[in-house]
Amino acid sequence: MAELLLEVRNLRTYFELFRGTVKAVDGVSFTLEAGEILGIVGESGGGKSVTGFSLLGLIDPPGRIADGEVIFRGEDLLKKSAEEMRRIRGKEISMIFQDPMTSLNPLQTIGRQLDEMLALHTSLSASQRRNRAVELLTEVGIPNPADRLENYPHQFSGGMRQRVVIAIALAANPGLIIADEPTTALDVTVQAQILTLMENLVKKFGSSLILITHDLAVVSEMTHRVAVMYCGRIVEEGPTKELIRAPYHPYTMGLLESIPRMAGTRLPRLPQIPGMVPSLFDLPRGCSFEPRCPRATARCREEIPEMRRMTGNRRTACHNPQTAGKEAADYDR
Amino acid sequence: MIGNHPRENAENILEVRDLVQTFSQPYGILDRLTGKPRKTVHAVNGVSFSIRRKEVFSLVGESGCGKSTTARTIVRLLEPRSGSIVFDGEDISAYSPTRMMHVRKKMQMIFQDPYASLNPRQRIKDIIMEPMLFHKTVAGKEEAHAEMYRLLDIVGFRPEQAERYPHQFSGGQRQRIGIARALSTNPSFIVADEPVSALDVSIQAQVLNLMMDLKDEFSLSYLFIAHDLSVVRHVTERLGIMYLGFLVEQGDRDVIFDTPLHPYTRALLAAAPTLDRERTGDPLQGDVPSPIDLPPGCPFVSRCPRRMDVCSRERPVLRKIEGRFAACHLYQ
Repeated sequence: MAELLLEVRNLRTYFELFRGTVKAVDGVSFTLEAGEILGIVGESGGGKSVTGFSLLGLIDPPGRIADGEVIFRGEDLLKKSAEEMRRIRGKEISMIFQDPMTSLNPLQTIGRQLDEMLALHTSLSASQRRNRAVELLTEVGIPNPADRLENYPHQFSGGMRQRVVIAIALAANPGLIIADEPTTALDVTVQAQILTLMENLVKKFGSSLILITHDLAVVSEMTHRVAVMYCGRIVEEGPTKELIRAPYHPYTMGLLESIPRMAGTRLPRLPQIPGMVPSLFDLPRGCSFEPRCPRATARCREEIPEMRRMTGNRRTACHNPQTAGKEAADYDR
Repeated sequence: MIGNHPRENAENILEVRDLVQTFSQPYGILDRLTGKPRKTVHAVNGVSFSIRRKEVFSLVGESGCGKSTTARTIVRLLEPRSGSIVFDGEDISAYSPTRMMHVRKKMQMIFQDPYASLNPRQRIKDIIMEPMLFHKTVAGKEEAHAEMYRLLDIVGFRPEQAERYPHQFSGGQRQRIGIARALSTNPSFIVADEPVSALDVSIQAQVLNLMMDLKDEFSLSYLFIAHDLSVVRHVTERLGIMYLGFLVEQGDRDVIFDTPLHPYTRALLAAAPTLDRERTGDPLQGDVPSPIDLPPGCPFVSRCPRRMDVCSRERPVLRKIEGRFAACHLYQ
């Protein structure tokens, strides 16, 4: 087994609002091995982004991390001081956001922004830093890197900006990169470029990657393992290929079915999950997915399902999981 | 610019020919003093297609390819620079705003952002009744009320929800309100500009199913604008692929999805992430060039993996080839 890089145990991030407490992340546990790509997937309000922010300690009031442990390389990040976390962010763990325009400073050249990262987290001299910056831009496929160091973010296209953000994220060679919808704002051909780039760089630099996205198709192409979130909880987790081929949880199943296919038979109607995500202020007493679930029983209304181990390395939190492989095979894929 | 025009045909609800749309870049006093040349954005460059009655036709492409501009020009939210737009047998390309009014109730639009396209200070009932009363498709307020409740029921709302404001609804619900509003004038043609791209996957399926049900129920034709190819494959019967304001390939859904010919269509299909296959080959390199200085030859030449010498000199025209139209020198 590869080295365990990260272990998240029972993470709870709550937001205390006037209307009540929102349990945005409510008892999330998962592990990540060195070199592994984990996808966290779900729809808006599922808690996937808040999970990412919580790992880095980037939760501001009224939010707070109510409980849990985030063990990174053997140490609990939730016990670190703000100062210690500042040293970890960027050096040990870095983050890539959806919109490269808001994560870059519009008033500074990208050379200066890369240099800042290198000055903070490495012991290189000024001229070494400059060389390293050129190297990094070359790695992420930016043409004429030495000249482009003098450019400002607005002088780059969206895809090129995201490449710059990736270069900055990689600058200190972190063990873990958290990418929150890194390609959602990009066109498909540019998305394909960026995904391929990220995949190659993660391999080359030996980092692990947590890819947070709403797009199951992206997850299926990029990740080794995937965790599906719904209303602040992981409802299913396992190796990506197996999970997509034969999901256990009816929510995963519903998500997969409602995506139209690019090849094969066209269904006259898309199978749809009825209803909508419940308000986080007013979650059902039992399983959060129960009101929309085709397999719900009386027990689901009363009792929140615990995560349990299924075949192989798979887990699901469901009282009536699909028999793996059976129903899934009925749908065109 | 385009070789093969479909003949004018009563089966077609819409015929667009050689449509051109340009925008002038802001040209201030400083630009004039410094003698900067005027710059023009060539958004749509001679696009022709037709949509049959009760058909879904899609325009697909990446941002900046001119698909939304084409749609907005067709419904005459923008003045066409040149070309003709024949809707239901009438050439509306030069209609004055007043003359457009009676056409507009027959062609309605559904927008991408359900948050920006509904007036936050209007109740749902007023949002839906306003077009009916404005276009006088109903005899009076009473009939408008009855019709409004009927439409709300069709798109899945309870009568008491008519009293609420847009902010009290979720994104998917708002999009259904937008659909009810589009239906309120009893249109025959709907332009849907990225109607589901702001929605979550599970909600996206609900809205797509609703739109397809309504198509049958109201005998609608759709011009569907989208960048998500799997969604397009699900809804559309025919489609056109746009790049830098040009239609590069056009044809029946299965022909295009199963055997794409144009290198851009191929790249686009290969780049789309899917559940059912591994990503193969190298992704397309580079970015879309600026629509300000159009390349003299093929618009795709700078990124094309199969470019030849002729491609940077001569602009290819759409030609019928293997059951579809493609504009590419490989097939001329």
